[in-house]
Amino acid sequence: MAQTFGQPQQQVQQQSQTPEYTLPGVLHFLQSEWRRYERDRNEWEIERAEMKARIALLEGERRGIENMKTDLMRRVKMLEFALIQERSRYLANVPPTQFPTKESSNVSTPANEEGPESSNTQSLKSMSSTLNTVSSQYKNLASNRDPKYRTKSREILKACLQEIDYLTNVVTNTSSASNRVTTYPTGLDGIPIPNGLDGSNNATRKLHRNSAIFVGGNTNAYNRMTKRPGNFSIRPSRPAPTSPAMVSPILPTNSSSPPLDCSINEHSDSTSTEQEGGSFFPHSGSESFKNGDKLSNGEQSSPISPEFEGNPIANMSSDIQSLNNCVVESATTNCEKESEFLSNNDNYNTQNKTKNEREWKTHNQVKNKNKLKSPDETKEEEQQLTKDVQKKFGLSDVNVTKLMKNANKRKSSEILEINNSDPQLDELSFNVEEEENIQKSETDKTQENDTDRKMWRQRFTLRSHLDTVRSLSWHQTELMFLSGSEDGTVKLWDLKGPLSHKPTSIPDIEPCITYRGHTAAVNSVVMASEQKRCYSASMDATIRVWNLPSSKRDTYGPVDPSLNLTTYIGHTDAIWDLRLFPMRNQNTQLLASASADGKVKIWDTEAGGSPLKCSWGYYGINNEGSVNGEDRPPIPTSIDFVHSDLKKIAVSYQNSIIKLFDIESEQSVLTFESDSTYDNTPATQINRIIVHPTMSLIFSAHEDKYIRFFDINSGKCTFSMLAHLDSITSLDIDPSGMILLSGGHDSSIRLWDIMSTRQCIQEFVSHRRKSDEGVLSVQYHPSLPWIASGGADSVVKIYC
Amino acid sequence: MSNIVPSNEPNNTSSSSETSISSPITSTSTEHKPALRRNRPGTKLEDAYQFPHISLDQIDSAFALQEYLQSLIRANRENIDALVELPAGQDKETWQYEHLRQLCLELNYLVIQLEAECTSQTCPEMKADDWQYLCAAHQAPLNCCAIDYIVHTLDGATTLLNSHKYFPSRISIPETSLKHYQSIARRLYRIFAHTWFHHREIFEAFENENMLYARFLKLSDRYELIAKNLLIIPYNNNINDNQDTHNNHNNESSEIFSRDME
Repeated sequence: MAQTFGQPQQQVQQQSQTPEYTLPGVLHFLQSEWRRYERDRNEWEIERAEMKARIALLEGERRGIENMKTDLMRRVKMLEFALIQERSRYLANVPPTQFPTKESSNVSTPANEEGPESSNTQSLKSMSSTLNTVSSQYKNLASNRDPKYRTKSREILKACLQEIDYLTNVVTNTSSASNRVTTYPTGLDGIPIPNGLDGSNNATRKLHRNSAIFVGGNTNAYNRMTKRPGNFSIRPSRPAPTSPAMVSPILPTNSSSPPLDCSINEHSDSTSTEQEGGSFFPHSGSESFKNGDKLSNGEQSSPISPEFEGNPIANMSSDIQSLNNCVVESATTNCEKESEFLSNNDNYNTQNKTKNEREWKTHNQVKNKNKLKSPDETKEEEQQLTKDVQKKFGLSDVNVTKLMKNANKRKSSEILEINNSDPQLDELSFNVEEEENIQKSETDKTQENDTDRKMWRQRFTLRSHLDTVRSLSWHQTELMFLSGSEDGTVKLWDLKGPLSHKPTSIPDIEPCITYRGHTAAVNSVVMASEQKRCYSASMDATIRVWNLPSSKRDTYGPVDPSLNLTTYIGHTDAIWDLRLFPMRNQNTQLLASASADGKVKIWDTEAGGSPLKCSWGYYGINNEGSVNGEDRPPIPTSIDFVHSDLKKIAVSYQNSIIKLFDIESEQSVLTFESDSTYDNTPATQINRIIVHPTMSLIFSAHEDKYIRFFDINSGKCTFSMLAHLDSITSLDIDPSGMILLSGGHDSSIRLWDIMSTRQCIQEFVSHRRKSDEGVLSVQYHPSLPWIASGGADSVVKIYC
Repeated sequence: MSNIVPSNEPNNTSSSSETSISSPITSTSTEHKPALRRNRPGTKLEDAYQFPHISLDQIDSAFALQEYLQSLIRANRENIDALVELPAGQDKETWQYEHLRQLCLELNYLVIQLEAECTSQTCPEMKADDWQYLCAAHQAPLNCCAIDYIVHTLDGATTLLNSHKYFPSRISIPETSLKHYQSIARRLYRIFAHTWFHHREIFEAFENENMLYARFLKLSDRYELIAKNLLIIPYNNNINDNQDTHNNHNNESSEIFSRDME
């Protein structure tokens, strides 16, 4: 194959190329090339297969973990609900004694325990009697069992109840809301419970309210009564865990609600699930006996027990299943309407059923894989589970799907807001979400560490300046930058050459050119890549404009006076900051400078005549005279154009104030609340500001170690942090706008996550201190993954 | 590679004794001296570097000598003897090193003055008196014009002084690098010489302001950096006195072609 391919090629080669190539030589070369290629391809294929296998494995693991998470989430919710129930029961134990009608509540217990005799109602008589008979059965059985079992089943039932509540809230939002209104708030009235039961029969408004009261005390009373209460009891129990006081204002409207009969009908119509909930208790008892062994097995490692024995998930799920079974059974037997409702949901449920089945199966498989169970055991388990699932009806299914949905939602959504309407559920799911948050952020972190958030490492150390390096500026696209130093020179560096060397054998890197012209320290430099120029501002109150040399220029080439373009004279004192207008439009390129003479000046660098475009002081253009007799106006320390509104420029002053000026009108349009820690000394001034390239945010670096975030529109401080151990001198934002870079006199450079955590991502101690200064400039390359920093040690360091 | 002195950690504690909050700068206090030795953004030129002069042992940084020297110069740059005098307990070599660095730094400002007047047209060759010098910054010595020679020499000297290879530390200087002092000093001297012979006004104006040549001369005298017979600028106590008594060095013409940079 190689030959057939090779020959025509080789002929072409022979013709086109030098005649030195011999046929056999070329052939041999092509063959060897082909062989090498084949070998490589084989290797790649093997590698690919390996990768695929690994992906499959990891995916399987992930699925397993997801299933486990779902189960654990459910378990957490159950436990939390149980806890809330316990608490509310405990709390509810107190109120009856406070109410004047507390004896009646005492009465209620015996009344309920007496069973059918206590309820004389006509409408609900038959129902309640069945309920009570069942419940008494349950009671007998339960009493035969050990108390542990009872409490445990109680917990399970509670959890089940909660699930029902959830469902009713979701499915019949409006009706459930009205139910809540009617039933719940009345609980504050504190009217005797037996009255409530009777009252419901009488169907008077007052009695209805009473019944609701009965409900209000629900959890404790009912739970104490081994869950015997009838329909009414359940309904109220749903809203119970939420704060009753909250709902109480709605009471007046409730008092005008229809008699209980109506409300019951309403329930059965629209919130049949609730009725199901109401009726399931007794049956769940009997049901649980059916499943008795299973349950008790499961409960050995019941949800309450903190340690996981054997196969907790399996137990959990079996618990849940059995509970669901109970629900289903009770629902079907007691409430035909409910079953109707369920059958309405059946389509939905059956769909879910199969899905769930599958889920459980895969879940089991994963589990088996993990735990290496015996095949028999797993088979048994699986069978049981599938049986359970098949038995299972809509409630839990919906719940599960809901949970899954929620989980997915949360996974996908950046901001984890709880949009759920049910506060109870929110509370329950809150912790789970938090957990997920943590997990997410952890995975994010690791991912980002791997990909986006690389760890910066020092690559080059550039020594050529003879004193503190005060300012740096990268070329827009090239690996070139400018450095300005207190030695009065500006140096241009090109890193392409050094980059071609091995890291171990980099010779001393020399600057391409040293611009000499300033007669004092250079405080700020700016590279204007498009103009092929650079600007430098100095203590000598001048701005100098330099041409970039041609790339062919030798470091020790002849001195070219033409590189020294011009000098902007206008300021009368040290210039501390220079910024280039972010956009170069038509034939104007604006440059802003801030000087210790108190002025901010805008220069049009391409103007024919005088470059000075405008100039204003602290009070704007017109109000210069407002300095009547007082001290000289505050001195600007740093400036930056507002990227979102290019007519504006932000200026920070020595009095720790940031002002926003309109370039056209030269008037202050906004003053930021940025002087919260200002103490009238430069020790608390702002050293540097930077405007976020895309968001309406401005960052300030303070002499007193703070970095603050401000909203450009409102001028309010949105975030403040002590960011360094000493004054912060320099800020920059990475091109993506995600990371804030800061350097300080503590010699450290820190990277901050702007978007989410606002935490320090990375820190490196970099420059050595001279005088009391450390790092003085940090700069991201605008388009390449490089950082440069300049420090008091006269050194520029480059990171990648 | 990363640090000149690997063992020397950044001294975060250096400011601990001085971190007491500086007194408020009032608009009228030109003599204000902030406790922290730093020039914050917004500092006026007149307020810049107004640090109190502190003795060397109070400076706790890797650049103590540099700070001390700069502090001395700011305090009184005319007191040449005090400037050149080796501080007690200090290494002679490192002191010379800092002086040479400072010399390069300040010579920049002389070059700026020269650039206005000394061009490839006015001074096509690097000459001082009868001497002509070839630029050693290139692979083979080149007959650069004066300003090129000066700039190249200054750049070369700066690079050499910053070389990690020859001067890896500012605390101690390797024995083998000491020989560079002489060659650096000798070449820097030629900048003065050219200026003195061909741009006398600039020289005098600069010297009046900075006393740099006087300091340089003192330094080379004190530490024997330049052979006496190479000092072609008339050696007077008053260097502004223009006496041209200088024809005792033609036998050293080989020096013209010296290229002692490795």
